[in-house]
Amino acid sequence: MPAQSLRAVGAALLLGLALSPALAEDTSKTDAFMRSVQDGFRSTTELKEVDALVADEKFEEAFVAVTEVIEQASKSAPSSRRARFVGAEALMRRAEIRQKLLHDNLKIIADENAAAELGSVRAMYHYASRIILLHSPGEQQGIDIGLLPPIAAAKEMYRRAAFLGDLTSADLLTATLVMPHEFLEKNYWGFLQRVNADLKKFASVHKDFEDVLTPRDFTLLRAAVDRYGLSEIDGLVTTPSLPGRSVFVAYQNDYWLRRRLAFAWRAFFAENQPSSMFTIADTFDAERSVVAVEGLSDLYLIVPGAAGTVLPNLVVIEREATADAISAGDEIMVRCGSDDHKATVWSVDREKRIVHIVDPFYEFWKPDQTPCTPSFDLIEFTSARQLIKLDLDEVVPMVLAIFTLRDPL
Amino acid sequence: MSNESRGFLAHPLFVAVVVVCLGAAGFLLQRYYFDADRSAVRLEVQALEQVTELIGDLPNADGTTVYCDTMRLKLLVAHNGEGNSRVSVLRLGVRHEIANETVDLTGCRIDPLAGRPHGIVGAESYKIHFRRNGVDARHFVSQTNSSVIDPANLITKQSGPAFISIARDDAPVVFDIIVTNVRKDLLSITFVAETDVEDQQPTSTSPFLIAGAR
Repeated sequence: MPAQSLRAVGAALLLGLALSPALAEDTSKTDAFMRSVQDGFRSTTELKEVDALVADEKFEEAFVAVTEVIEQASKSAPSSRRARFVGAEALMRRAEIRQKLLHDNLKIIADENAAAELGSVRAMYHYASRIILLHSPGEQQGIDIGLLPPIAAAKEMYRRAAFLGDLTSADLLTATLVMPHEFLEKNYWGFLQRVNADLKKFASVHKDFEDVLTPRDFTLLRAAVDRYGLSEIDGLVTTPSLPGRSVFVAYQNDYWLRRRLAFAWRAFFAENQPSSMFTIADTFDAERSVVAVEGLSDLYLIVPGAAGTVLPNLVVIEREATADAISAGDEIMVRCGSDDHKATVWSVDREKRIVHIVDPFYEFWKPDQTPCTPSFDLIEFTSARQLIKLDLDEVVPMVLAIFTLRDPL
Repeated sequence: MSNESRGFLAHPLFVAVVVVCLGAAGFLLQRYYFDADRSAVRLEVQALEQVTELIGDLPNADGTTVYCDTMRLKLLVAHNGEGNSRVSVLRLGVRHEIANETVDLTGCRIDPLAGRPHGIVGAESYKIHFRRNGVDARHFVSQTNSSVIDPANLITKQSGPAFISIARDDAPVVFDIIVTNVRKDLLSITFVAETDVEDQQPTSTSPFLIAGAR
């Protein structure tokens, strides 16, 4: 992906706006909001020279330059997170350059595998697809099939990419899940892909789904999301103006949450940005206009305590009810002193009083940066991603507002 | 007065002694009072402003603004201009006490939807939190570079010596400070400087008031 478009796509993904069909209907306010977020990120400046050489079709020189970036990534990057991202992007560039230079497929696979191990979703998809292709009869291109990674490696890589919300990989994964014990998983990834590949289209036919699906089908989809999903359905705080979450919306909520985890890996905030000109109310308006899908789902704004503004879908709750109101997939707006921040909830354990957060700007929560969250712990998670582990009771007093995806009223 | 006494006061020797004494007193007054170097530090808070947006209006105590939850100010540390000696500020701390004023604080309600989620904003600043269990102070050099510091001494060693040295014509040293009160109490805050000037009491700013959000 060209570096210059990375920021735009990245910013969109962070907001959960990517791939949304409603993107075309953005208002100018949403456009301005998107631009402001986009400006707040750094891109792959380290690969600028490589990209220029590729654009000029100087592949030999590009190969040398990108190999140097790969070798230097772990030494010169300002953080291990940045090193992983730059390393993975460089390895994927080198795999693409190798293709142009007609290098051995095994070397291309090795680069893609290394990039996947460093966290690149794109590399996971390409690695898995290349293995599947090369295992196909007549596609070996002179390679000893015994040297190829097995099909099972491709399947596992599709699974990893699907976990991070890559719908193409989810679709291809379902084709490999053929064993009886994989039936529930197959249904989960299949339905995740079906709901989210074209949300608007799904919204237009989902009433038909409701008519066509038997109670047994619903039980199956529900069991699949309970087993493999991330979103809560039961136990959510509801009020007359705050509906619950159907199984369909749970699949939509799962998708955004997975995409945000994927994106947190590649999001790097530019230093010394001025304070945002957009308030939480503005942010809510912008996100609702693209995340909510008419007839299928809607975004609600939960405010503990009191709100100074009247907004559609605004629900005021008691401060004491905040912990119960936070659930996986919600975005929380928090404040510590003069700093306001936004992050996504990965999971909540209300009994153990623990919340896991997805946040590319994890520094906000570090005890040497803020006095509000001394319990902060950065946990290595799947596919080179990290989660922030916090004490729920430290987070609750910080919460200004919660964005939550539910059924429409 | 007797003629004898008048004669004594008019005696040239007496007059000469008086003249010499007055001259000496004048000299000493000039040297040790009028020309004395009374260099000291001048400490001042300026540009106080409310940071968190409120649903209500800022309260006031007898015409003095009461800030709520989080406010920002500039703390100026300057030479007082009353002498030519360089002054060193050895410690620059923040002090607080619970204010006695009776103030209606119902206006101190934060407007949550006016928040601007943006993480840590990048300018260098000092952030002081008054919490139930003590005072927390941090020096932010940038978004991701900060250190916990002693609220009793905001001067850090990060950028040079652990004191501030100010000459008469130096520009003031300015601290950008953000103060947050997460306690329910109304607090009276002052900044206090201790210098190397002999026999000088610590210099402090005028107090200002900040309440916790309701």
